Amino acid sequence: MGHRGTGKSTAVRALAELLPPIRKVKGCLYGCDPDNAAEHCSECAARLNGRARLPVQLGPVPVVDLPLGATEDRVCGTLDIERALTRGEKAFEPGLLARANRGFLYIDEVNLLEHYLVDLLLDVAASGRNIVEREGISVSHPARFVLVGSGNPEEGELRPQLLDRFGLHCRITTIQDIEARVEIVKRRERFERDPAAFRQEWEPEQDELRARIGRARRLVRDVTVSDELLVRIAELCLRLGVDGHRGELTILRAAKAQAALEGRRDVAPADLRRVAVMALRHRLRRDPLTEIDAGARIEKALDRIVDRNGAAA
Amino acid sequence: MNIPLEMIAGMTEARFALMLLAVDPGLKGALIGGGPGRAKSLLARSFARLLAGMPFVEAPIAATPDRLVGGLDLERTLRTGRRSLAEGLIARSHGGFLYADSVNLADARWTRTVAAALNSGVLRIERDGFSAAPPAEFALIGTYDPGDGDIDSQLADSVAMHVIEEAPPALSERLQVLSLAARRETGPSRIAGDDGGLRNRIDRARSRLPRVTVAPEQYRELSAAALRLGVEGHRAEIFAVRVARAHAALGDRDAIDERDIDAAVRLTLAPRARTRPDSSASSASGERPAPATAPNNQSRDDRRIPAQDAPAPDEALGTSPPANSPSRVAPSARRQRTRAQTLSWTRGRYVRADTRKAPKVALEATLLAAAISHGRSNNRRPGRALLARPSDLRYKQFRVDSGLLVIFAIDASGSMAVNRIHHAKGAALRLLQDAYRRRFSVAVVAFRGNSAETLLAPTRSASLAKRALDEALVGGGTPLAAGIRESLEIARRARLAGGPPALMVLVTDGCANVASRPDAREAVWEEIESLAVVARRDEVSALVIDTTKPLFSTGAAERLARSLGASYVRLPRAGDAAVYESVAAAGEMVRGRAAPA
Repeated sequence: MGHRGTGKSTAVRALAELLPPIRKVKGCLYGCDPDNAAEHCSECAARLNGRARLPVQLGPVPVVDLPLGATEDRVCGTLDIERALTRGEKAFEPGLLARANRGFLYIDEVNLLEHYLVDLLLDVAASGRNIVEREGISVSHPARFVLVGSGNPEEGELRPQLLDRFGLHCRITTIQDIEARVEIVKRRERFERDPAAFRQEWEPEQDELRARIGRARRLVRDVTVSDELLVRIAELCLRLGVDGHRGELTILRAAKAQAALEGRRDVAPADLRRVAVMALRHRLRRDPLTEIDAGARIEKALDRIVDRNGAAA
Repeated sequence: MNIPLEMIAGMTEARFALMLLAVDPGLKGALIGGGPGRAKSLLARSFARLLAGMPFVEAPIAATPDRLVGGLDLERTLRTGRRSLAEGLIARSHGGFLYADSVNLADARWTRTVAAALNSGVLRIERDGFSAAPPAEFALIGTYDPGDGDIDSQLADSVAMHVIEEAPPALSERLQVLSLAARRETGPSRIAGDDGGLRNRIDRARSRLPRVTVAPEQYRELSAAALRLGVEGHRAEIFAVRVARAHAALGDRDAIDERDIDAAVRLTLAPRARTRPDSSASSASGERPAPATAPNNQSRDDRRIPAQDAPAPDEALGTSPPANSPSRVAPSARRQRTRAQTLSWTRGRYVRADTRKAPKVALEATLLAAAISHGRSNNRRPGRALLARPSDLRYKQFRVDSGLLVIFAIDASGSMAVNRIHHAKGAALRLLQDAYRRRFSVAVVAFRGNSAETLLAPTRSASLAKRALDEALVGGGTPLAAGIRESLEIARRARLAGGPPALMVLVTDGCANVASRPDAREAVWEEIESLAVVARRDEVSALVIDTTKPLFSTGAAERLARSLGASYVRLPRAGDAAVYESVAAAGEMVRGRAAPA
């Protein structure tokens, strides 16, 4: 969340090209994971019945845009009009939730999302399944996705239940450094003049980042955390009065990912410092009359728990 | 009526912006503000004529999403059996221009849809079973009357140029209009002058544009200007460089110079300067224009509200300072859980079709159901009419935004003003903190001196509300009628934009000593009575919060409430919690009344 015109959507849409491909069941509408039968859709479950394994193909991780003005039928799926008209058949046409399964669902201007769509997303995010009961159709399919939202907080507050569903919350502000700003303008100009050449120029960096993410993904399962650091995480959340346990669980997971991204097998105090603000920013109890930014409060609490050099204080 | 662009009198800056847009449509558009009768739409249409050959699509601000974005073409779909898309206005403007008048009155669905397409160059359609992303490279020309309110800030940020023709037309301009009109009388053919000269200039500039160079220090100069003006985000500078390039090309220059930079600052950066910068932002931009209507003799009396929650001055009178414990919401206000939106069978936004019988038939869904049952009964033949049986009927289900716009009209005159504003602020912020559950939005009007000022346009943002109320000026006379008038105006605009019902909350001691028209000093109450008629007509509910102590009461606030048909509470010792509770209770009442049958 943050200032407009700071490249929020551009960054999210750039994600798709960085993610290493995943294994999918060939021909499956929902891109089911061949190695996880528990989460299969009904077709895959039926196909697997009795067979050892299903045909597999590599495919990209979906990054799906949910634009403002999307209708409910497109989000959750609906009757296939063509088949209804030409063959008189009642068939299900999957929507955006189906397409986003095992990937990312991106909502720009998330704080302006229609409220019935928010209700729908909350239900699906909680269960990991999309259950459609409309126009005589009755379908249930897997819909597990990472929700990515962006918007300008000045447009309105985000509904608390939805806010809570987001693991991390980054605050983006306008860059104040002139040289950096000039560089932004110049890069944008270069891109517009010749998009292909621009891409090529940055391909080595993209490749490196892609490889780094791939390595980190393989490593993250083996990253460990010391008991002492777990205590620190719990202490931090306690000190800040964070409700529930999503705060500490998110810090733990994010800190592991951060360690893996840096190629380490154990979480360091510096990882905790790196992720704590974004993991907790939206979980602090809000006092509308105070000026103090949530980020500053978290930093202050962090200072008492982990010192600046990363060692436990 | 068509008049060549060059012959339109006045509006020089606006004409110039359009020329730049013609040279580089990648500037994404121009917003043109001006009073009524300034030939804004004439200008836009002349521009269309100038660029004949490029699409020029008019998009009424009342256009529904299915017209703007596109949707199912029912007729063709039924005829061919293939799903067909009815192309929307945005898609039709690809490679050209989208024109909207009164663009400041467009609702958020309209502005955000257009802004998203402008920013990404792609129209993302996820509607009526369609999923598509056709290219949408177009530029927006938006005209509006600034007196009717501001343009949505996101939309304003999506286009390069913003021009407000403020000054009343000069004598020479008036003469030009008159002589043109006089010549018209003698026959339109006489003024059907030609755009040929302009067209040549544009063509020349277009071919020069790719060659125009920008020096490193000029990039820096524009970025520094953006920084100094406190412009939000980086779109502004990217546009500014482009404007400078187009400007140079139009001036037959191969390298940009000071004139081009000036134009970019004027057209792109200056209009985005944040007039109320965060206190943390660069101090260079810290000029907040004084309310234009506040007369100078009042300024001695002007005081800023003490920054943080300093004790209010009427502590001396025994009122306790407000308790600052916003997390503790009064139980009465929390009792019922309000669903953000309610279902309706009669009005609101059509969201889905259902088999349950209801007043409005959903045609598409019914036809599809009929097609399916035909298919099943196996009697479908080509060319035969589709027969819908009663069991195929589908009915429309709507969603109604059950929100409420709460307009605080605060008496900012006299010594107690600081207190009143303080309490209203606390209450407003609590309402907004709760905004998502209760669907409140808040606006604030302060009246003092002899006028009323909108401090906060309707918003759901707590941070905006806080900033606006922190900067409120207090002191001076009590133009009660002006305050009511301004509030009703906000309610009217919100309703025009399809917004929720409104509740006007007057925080005052009811002493009205300044009429909004100077000649009506004795007729203050008459004026209030006539405003009450407007309020009733516009279905704006009212609540009067009387801040006088019983001892000092003259009954004025009660009289005001009676005149307005308003609810009335006396809260002389009001803390923000008490104000919040009365407003929330009144709000639920209004909503109960407005709720769909």
